[in-house]
Amino acid sequence: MSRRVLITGLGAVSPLGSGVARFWQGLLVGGARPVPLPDPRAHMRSPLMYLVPGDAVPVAPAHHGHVPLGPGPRMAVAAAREAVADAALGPQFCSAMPVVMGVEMGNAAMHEARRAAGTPADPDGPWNPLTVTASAAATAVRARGSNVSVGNACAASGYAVSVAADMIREGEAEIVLAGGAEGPTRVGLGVFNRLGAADPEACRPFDRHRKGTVFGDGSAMLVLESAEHADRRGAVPYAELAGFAWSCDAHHLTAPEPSAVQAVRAIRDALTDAGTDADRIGGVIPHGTGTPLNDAVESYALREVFGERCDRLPLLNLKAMIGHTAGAAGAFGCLAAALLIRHRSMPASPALQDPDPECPVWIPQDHPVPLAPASVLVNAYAFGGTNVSLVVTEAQEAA
Amino acid sequence: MSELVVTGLGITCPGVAKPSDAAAPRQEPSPGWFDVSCALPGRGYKRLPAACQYLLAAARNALADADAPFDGVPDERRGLVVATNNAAMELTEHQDGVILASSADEIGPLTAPFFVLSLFASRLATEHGVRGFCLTANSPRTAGLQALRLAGRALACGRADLLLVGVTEERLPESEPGSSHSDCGAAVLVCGPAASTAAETAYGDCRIGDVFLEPGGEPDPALTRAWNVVCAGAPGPVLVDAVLDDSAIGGAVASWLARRPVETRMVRAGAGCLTPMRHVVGALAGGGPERVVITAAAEGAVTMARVRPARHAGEQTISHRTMSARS
Repeated sequence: MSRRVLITGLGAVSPLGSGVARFWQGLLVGGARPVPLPDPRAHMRSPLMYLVPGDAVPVAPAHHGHVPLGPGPRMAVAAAREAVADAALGPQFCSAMPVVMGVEMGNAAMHEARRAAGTPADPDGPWNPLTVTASAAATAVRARGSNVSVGNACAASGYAVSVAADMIREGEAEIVLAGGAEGPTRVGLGVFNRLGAADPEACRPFDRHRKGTVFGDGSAMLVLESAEHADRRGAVPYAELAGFAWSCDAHHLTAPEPSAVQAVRAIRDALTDAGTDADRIGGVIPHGTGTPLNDAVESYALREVFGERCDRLPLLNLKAMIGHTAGAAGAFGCLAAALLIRHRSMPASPALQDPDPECPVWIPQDHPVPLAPASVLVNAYAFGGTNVSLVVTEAQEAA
Repeated sequence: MSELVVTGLGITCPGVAKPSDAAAPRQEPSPGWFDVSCALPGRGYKRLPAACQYLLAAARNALADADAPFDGVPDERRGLVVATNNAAMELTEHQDGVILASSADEIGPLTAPFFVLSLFASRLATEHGVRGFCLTANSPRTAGLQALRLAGRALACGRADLLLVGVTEERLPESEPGSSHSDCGAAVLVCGPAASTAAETAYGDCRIGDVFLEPGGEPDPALTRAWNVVCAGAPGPVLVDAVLDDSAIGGAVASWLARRPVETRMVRAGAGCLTPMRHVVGALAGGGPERVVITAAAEGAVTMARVRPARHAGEQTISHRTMSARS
């Protein structure tokens, strides 16, 4: 029997504002709207993003060592501090705590700013790595355990959360800070425009007229803790990370494997790992990006696993509310799942203009619905066909 | 702490002919040093980013070296962990330049998706039918050694029966700071769990530990704890390859090593996470005494790998290479 992993702290900076409370309140009122990236040199057809409001983007820390920090790492620092405070972790608990973060573009904004300014670089000077986010977050909370950055693209922080949970299950750590963070990126937006995968209106997963995704930025952080440790110090968990599983399509660079065999396997293996079954899942936070193929294949995968119950199994259309936060998306999904379980409720998602019949899922759009049973499936997928599914449940009483 | 047993090695680096030379000093890549049509004959390779080509070629060599170990392993029991820091930096700089100068519509379509770092691993997964999992690590400098730890943990958790662990890097573009000392090339290891891998076919095993140092803080206790964990159960290696830069963190690790009863070979760290893994490959293939490879990022992460080569590893490398040449 592997060790149980609880979620005992949350932190977030999102397009809905700074802090977990604003994130939840933002979900209750239907989420944010995309705006053009404020970059006059973002020469592309659709420069839309769901951006963290300017006053919610921290100005510090400006540097980590010699590396200037852009919005992504700075937001990670703020979210990490909130999560650690939320879990009531004093310094004695952080000293050996690992930090595992899912980061794809990381500090890209600073590299892009330097290129746009034409600032010359010193070829013999110190290297400016792209992925300093986990290091900046660890320094901020004085975490001195392993410091790992996972780069599985849009599934990165889903993998990071599960790597962190494996550390606890394997007895390497009692507490791990896990999450993801991304800032705005001109290159990311540009390439998605080039690939015809950027929707010019909004992020509209599962809508018949969806034309691609719209990126968002922000950071979501979770404190994961062994049940024994949480019990010893009297921590009150939001939820339990009961199970998770990985798979890989090994099919195509950008398109999901159309039969969804591996996506289905990840979901089923996650349910098995959690010791539960499809009938005991009360809601789903899908990957749901708004790209035509992803949403259709994911809908098919969900129907394969949940059957006709899909007609009454509520989905939270999270990316329609905060955009596709790329490497941070899986962590935002887990954070939202923990809040759904805390509140026993699934907020209404933005109204679909025209639900896609190729995506036969149920997305409550008129009002919140009760979450029953109190357990949520979270999916995170990525280019290249890397899949991770996680099952977040109500924390069970210690045996 | 989980251990990995290594049964195959492959390397594609400028000036390196075989795995036992992997720890040789880093050479600048000369024009044409890598011949893609020779290393990767067939269709579909020439237009891939260079770091993807390096990775695919090194994986081919590693799998051949291990005598096609995936043949008896179902797709869904194969795993892959790839580490990289700079595989896509040159490409993304070019893409950004196109956006700045004209329009995103002018970005080259074939390589466009490779701005996503994990696609280098995904392309390798597709090449070899790896459907268990495909993980990418991108921690500055330490990602290569961390990939070994991620792989060992995944095996311990039952996520695969056999896996590839790789590192791939491309030189930084000249517009990036630190470009004059950046890693280039790839290394791949075929790895299995210690319990189920026949010792007579192995190069040896690895055990990984890591810590995070506070800039300006007192590093000794944390480094000593990590060392004790990594080197537990044995007298401990006295040979250390230290891949460090001249940052405060690198200096702190160097000072700590200077106070230990070890013989340290200092190696100048460049931009990227390949050089530490080259030293792991070199130690395994060389079949010499046990050693620790340690590296540190200026940002604070420190990772160490205890490498225990099998006594016959050097001979095995020769025999495998002979077989590959015959085929």
